[in-house]
Amino acid sequence: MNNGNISKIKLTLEVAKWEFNRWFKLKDQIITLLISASISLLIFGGKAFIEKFSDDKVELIIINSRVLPVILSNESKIKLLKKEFDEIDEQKKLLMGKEINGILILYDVDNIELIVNKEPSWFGELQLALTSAQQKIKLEKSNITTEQLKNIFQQAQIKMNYTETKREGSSTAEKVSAGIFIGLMLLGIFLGLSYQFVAITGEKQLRITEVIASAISPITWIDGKILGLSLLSLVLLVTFAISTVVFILVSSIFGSGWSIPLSVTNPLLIIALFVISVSGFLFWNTFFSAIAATISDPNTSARSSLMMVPVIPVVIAFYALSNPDSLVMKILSLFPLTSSPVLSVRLVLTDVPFTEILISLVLLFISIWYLRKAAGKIFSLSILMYGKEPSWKEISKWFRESKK
Amino acid sequence: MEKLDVILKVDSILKQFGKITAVNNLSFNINRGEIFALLGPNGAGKTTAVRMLMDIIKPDEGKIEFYLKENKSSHIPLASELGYLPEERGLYQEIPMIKTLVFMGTIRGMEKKQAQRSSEEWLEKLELLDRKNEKLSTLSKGNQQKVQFISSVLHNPSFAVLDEPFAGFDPINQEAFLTIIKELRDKGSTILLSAHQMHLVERIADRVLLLNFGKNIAYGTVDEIKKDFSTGEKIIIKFESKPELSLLLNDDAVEKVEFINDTEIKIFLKQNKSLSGLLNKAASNYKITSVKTEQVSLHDIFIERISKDKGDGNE
Repeated sequence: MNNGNISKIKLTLEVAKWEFNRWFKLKDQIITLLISASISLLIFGGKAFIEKFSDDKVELIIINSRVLPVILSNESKIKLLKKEFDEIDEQKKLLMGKEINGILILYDVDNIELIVNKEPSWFGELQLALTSAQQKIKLEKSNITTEQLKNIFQQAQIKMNYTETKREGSSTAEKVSAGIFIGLMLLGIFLGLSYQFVAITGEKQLRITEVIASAISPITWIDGKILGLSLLSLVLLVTFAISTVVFILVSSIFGSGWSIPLSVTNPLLIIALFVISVSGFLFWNTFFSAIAATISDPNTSARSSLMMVPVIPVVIAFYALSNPDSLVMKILSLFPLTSSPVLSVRLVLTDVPFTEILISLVLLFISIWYLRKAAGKIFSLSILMYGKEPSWKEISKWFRESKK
Repeated sequence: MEKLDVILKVDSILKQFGKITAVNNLSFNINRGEIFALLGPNGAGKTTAVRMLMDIIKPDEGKIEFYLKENKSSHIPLASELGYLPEERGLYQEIPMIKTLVFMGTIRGMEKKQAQRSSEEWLEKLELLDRKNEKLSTLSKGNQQKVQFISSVLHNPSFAVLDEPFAGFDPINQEAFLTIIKELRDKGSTILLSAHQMHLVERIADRVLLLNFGKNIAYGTVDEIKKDFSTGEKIIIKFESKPELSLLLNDDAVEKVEFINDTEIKIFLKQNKSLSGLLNKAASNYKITSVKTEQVSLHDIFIERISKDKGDGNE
């Protein structure tokens, strides 16, 4: 369709804006953030609150305390009250009356008895303190110093020396961050694909396609769709990423011990991850817009299962977590089908040369360009096919024609 | 330079889908400012022809030339110059109708404010303005059709294709739309319409093209087509008892006889033949209750022509 003086870019942006606004619900994003903060607050804040205000100190009577030097930490709830053997009966009465929580009788270093009304929640802590006291006494008797014992059980020490990169080995926090990033990317891709499927097959089912196809060219239409829905995926992904950060920050306030590794907050890394994510979404949304256009009814079409294809590169990206610098991962971070998730993981975990990033992005953009042309051709021929899906033979013919 | 009164020239277009020829060497012109009706039974090739005019699909052979601007040679039409109400139609159900209409206007080249204003004017005209922010799904089928119609003409196109514009409307709204389409024409739009309501088409169309098996089988003004029709007048005779058809069929003046019910028959007369002999014959054999004459309608011509035309085995 000839749109005269209206530029294709303006029309593409109009369609992109339309598609974005069709599906984006600001209220839902705010709710997602609030839920994330609330869950973190509920789990970690609740735990801290319960620990702070729950049960009082446990009063434990210790008989014959001279046998073992039991030492408890300052935060321990257990309060040890020293008594002698002749006071046992009196203490038992107090225990029956629930005025104390237990009686610990130390007959000997290896002969200990605990009298309680029911199974105590603080048993583990007490056992640990008694074990430590027992070990200390046994060490003293065997003339082995604590240092000697520590030396015997120490793990082999290996000094790491990296030749390929100047960077230190990835920390667990970085690996977790990379894992979370892969998860978010998968989520972003799937959200984009879902919207792409619903948008295109919905328009076919509602018979909207012919009205729009008479006003704008299929390539403008599909470009706008890809752009709008990729932007939507990105916004949703950013919301989920912010939710994750909010979750971690709220949890750290209440002493979860979780933190965001400094290397992940590097602005250059964030920009690189942003560009790669956007390229990945564009690639997969382009691919699936063409597939969606060939589907008449998503409930019955076997092609709906193709939505699972992006799982493969993401699964491969998980292998990169353990060995980001292997030759296979280097190749896969250049290959357009796998590059966006694999390169993202490598960027978080290791130092990737700039040339590799550049080659990977150039290859990805070239693929997107050709895929977009093919998708436009398939889209234009498929959107008006109601009730009948084009065969793979027909699709492959259109694909070949699009390259001419 | 083409003649100025022609706005669209279709020259020998052909479209095949596999072994099926949907449109077969079809030619016609549409004049500026007229209402042109494209008629034909289901599967005649109307939708394919219309899709080719709208550049949704390309013809395998032949030419389609638009002369939308007066005194100008043929050109590729702009989306803003064309309006299209397709047969296969629908709009976004879960979006407020005003938003959808503004979007439709924008992709047809209107500025947002202009599209908003035009949408509101049309909604007011069709008594839907107070519901502009409601989702389309909340409207009745008839009101959804109105919104669909607005989406195809709100940008004031020079040439509008309206495929089945009366479908889904009650008789009152059909009448209303008859007026609206005439108003569109009077404001300068040229209209190509396709409809099955022959009595409405007959009242509104300046010229008609009857299509069957993708080919032109009748083309011209309604009067010209009626004139070309092999039969002349049509009479309806009501008898007291069931008549013997062979008696009437043997008469020279009779082209065709159809039973309306057991005692009532419709007789199509041959052109320029007298009624008197036939009526005398009928009255001498049966008791006649009533006799009335009718002009042959577009509907009759449509049925007659389509039933006679068996195609040429292009499938």
